[in-house]
Amino acid sequence: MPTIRANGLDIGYDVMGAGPPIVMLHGATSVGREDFAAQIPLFSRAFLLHVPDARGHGRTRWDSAEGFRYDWLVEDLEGFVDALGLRTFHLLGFSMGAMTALQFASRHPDRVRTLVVIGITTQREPRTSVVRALMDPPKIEATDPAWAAALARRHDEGQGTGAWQKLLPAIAADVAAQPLLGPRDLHRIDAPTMVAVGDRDPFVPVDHAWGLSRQIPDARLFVAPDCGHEVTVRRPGLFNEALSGFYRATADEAARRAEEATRPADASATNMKPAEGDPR
Amino acid sequence: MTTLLVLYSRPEGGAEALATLERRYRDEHLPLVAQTPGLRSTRIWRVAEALGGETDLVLAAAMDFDDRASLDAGLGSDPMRAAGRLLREIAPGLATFLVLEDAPDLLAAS
Repeated sequence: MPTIRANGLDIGYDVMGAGPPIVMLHGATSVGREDFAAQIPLFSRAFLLHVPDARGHGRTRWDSAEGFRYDWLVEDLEGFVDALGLRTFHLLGFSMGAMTALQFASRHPDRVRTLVVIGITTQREPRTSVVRALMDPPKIEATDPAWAAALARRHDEGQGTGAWQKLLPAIAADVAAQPLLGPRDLHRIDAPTMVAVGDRDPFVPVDHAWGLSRQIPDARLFVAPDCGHEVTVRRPGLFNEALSGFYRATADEAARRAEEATRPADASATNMKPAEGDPR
Repeated sequence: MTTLLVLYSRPEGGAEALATLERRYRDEHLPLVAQTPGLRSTRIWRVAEALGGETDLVLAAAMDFDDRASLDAGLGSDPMRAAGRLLREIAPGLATFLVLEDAPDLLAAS
């Protein structure tokens, strides 16, 4: 599994498939190969998937005693895609990864061919309270040994034994304090977008997801029925179908955005042909 | 050897629904199954005919494990659980699961 140097980190990532690039960002405390296990086989048939581990997670080593801030995750993503030479790409994120993706798309709208955000709200509550209640290492060890074992399995090798016990409170503190995106930020996102949420997501009430989809100019909403937070894991069949349909429906626009980004700054005004080379 | 045999009934919706089931089974379900620890081999069949009768079965799959403990460990693994969740959506209520154990004593008696 490769690593790449970016933003002062050695970012571990998986790369699979062939085709237009998708960058897939996992949720807090997890890793991409687990959050997207049911998507990777299907979408690697038509896309080149890049699935990085966030700092402090999996194989991207970071001591979360030094702090954990989601704007650092956005800078990590900027460094990651620059290091890979991805000028434009499809961007997909779940939960913490969705917050990173929203912020990146707001800062760099022209670099995003399409955007998919799953299980995220731009409102402080109830997300902060639910995160605070969950990210409690002593409670997890006492009441949920299966989750404790999963956290150790995901992170011990890359981060050091027991590092997850520092990571979780650091994430909770960041969620409570992180700046929130406002309507003006969201309105800058001009790529075709899909907002996905489970109808019983404790972090994200459906009306928050609906509101988010209404503030992004070209967004549609997918609500997974009978489903909590982990839409990709709990409703993989429905989600895969929705995502396939979204990529099919937006393929022309995504290709146009990829081509537009490779065009010299004055080309559109003078009707020049785009630069040589496959924009993908 | 312990074998997990899965029998699939015909989905409602005619040939198109069956084609969709087969496509999603191949593209989404089987790649997850293939990651199952302890899985020795997988065989898949289309049901061609029920001799002398009718059947609504359309597909069968057999997954071989060394023994029952290996099968149970495989069923509890992340890939197989993901495959199971996916299957409940792409083939809801269509699958029957049978755990088969070799019966050499019966074979010898024949």
